[in-house]
Amino acid sequence: MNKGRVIYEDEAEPHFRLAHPSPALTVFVDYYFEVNQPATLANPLYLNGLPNLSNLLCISLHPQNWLSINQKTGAVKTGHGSRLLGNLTDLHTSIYPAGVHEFYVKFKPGMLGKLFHFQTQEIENTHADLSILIRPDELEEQLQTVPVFHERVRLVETLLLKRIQRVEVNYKLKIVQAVLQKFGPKTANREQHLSKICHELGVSYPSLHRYFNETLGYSPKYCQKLLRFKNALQLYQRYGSRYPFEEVGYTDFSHFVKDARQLTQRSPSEL
Amino acid sequence: MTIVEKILNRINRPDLLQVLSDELTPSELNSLLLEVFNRQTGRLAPAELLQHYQKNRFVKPADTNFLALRGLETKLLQLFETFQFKAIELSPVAPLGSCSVVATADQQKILSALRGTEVLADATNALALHVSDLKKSGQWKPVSPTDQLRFSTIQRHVRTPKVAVAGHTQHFKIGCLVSSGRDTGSFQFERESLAEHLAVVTAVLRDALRMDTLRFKLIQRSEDGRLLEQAKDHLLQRRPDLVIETETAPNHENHYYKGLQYKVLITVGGQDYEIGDGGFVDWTQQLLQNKKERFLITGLGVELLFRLVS
Repeated sequence: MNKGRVIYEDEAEPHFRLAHPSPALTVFVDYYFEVNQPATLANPLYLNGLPNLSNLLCISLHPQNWLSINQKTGAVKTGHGSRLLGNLTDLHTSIYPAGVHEFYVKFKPGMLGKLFHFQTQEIENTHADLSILIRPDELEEQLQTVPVFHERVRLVETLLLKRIQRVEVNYKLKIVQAVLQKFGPKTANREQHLSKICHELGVSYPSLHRYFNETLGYSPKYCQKLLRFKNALQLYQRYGSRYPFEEVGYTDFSHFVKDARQLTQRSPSEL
Repeated sequence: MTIVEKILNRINRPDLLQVLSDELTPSELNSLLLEVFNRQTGRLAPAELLQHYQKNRFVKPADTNFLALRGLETKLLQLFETFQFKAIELSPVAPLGSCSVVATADQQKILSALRGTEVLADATNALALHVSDLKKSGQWKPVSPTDQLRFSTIQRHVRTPKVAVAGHTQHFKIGCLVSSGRDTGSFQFERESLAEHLAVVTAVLRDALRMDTLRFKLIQRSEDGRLLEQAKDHLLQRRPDLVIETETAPNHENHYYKGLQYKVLITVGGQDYEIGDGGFVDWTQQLLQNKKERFLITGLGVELLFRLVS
């Protein structure tokens, strides 16, 4: 059964392109990417969005109708063109009946809210028209007229650099970002790892918990669980069930499957 | 002796039917009947009106949760539009003969009305007329030979035969999809439009309403089985995720569909339901007098679907 698929950062060109931000923007932007996948009404494109902490700005380079289904609640959202993608707590399947050619800015957790003055939790599971944040027509038009990906990146960076000048990154946010950085691929056992991280950063776990809640609205353990699952799913898709999942923080493969069901209501093979 | 013959004999006017149907123009008949109904309603007392309401099986409201059903309809229409099936709201009445003139439908099963109309009994027939009008009047012109017109609607249908199944009603909501195109050879329109309709139905039932038991049955409706074979191969190649069954020697004859019919099947609570039905029809060929016209219709039982999901 076609249940969609998850796009990872190492997808092959020309359907997927990725670029990292310039040093001035690394605090705010994780990376920029572009998806260019054809489809037909008879054979639409199905993409899955895993539960995550990221906020994305999606600018349509060739505006098309899209459909997003929250796989936990069944809520269906339809729209056309550019949109804001909030951090997800549930698996979302997007269906593109006429293909997709879109440019994305993936912000670091909590940073889009900093730029546009809202709490990250306010846009939880949001799949909304971009006009709630900015006037997308102008940006769409500018990006559509630029012929290549790296020029689009440069254009978006220019716009973002103007906006970040007014934003102050406080101590709590820096700590949260540093912890999230450590939750990256190949983390060790999560219990030890969190205490070790706290020790390394000179912060107690209760303080860290408070910083995470204030900044992102979630606990450090929940955030670690999401990032660990994303990494493990990529490894599962690459190496299968025989991969030693202990290396990425799970007790065993069954533990990983249990997390998959809990987070997405699906088995890993259906993602 | 038929009921009509008995009535004519009783009033001793054996030629009345012939006079009304053959000697009067439709406009004259309409004027005559308007006057007849005007006189009849003039004699009607409010208490009698209530009695008629209580006895008449066509006039009672639907027993569904109106707002919840409307919510489902909105969701479905948005999905249809996402797949480029333009949603339109049809008139509650269609020209008299909309179904019976072009399809194997009995006019007795349709609520015929005055002023040359009938109450909508099948929205796909009304959409065939709309499409044909757009084409004939030149309001829509294809840019390339493979261009298609796609429309969708959700309408309340009224049919006159007394319902035999518990839970069924004289009027019910049906969601309709139609695709209109031209024959460009090798069953290109048929293969592509059928795959599109199945993709929409899949997005609605399997993806949005999470009915994982969804399956389709393709039924051969012509001597020549090439269309069924090619359509099936095309679908399996494009959509290996769909469950497709075929029936090459159907038990029941059906002259409604031409070449290929398909059914949409789901299982809810252990019971199988035929939630949708569709196929190729020659209505636009007849309306536009052009054998190259192709028309695919799909009907989805929205009210039944609502009862199953709510």
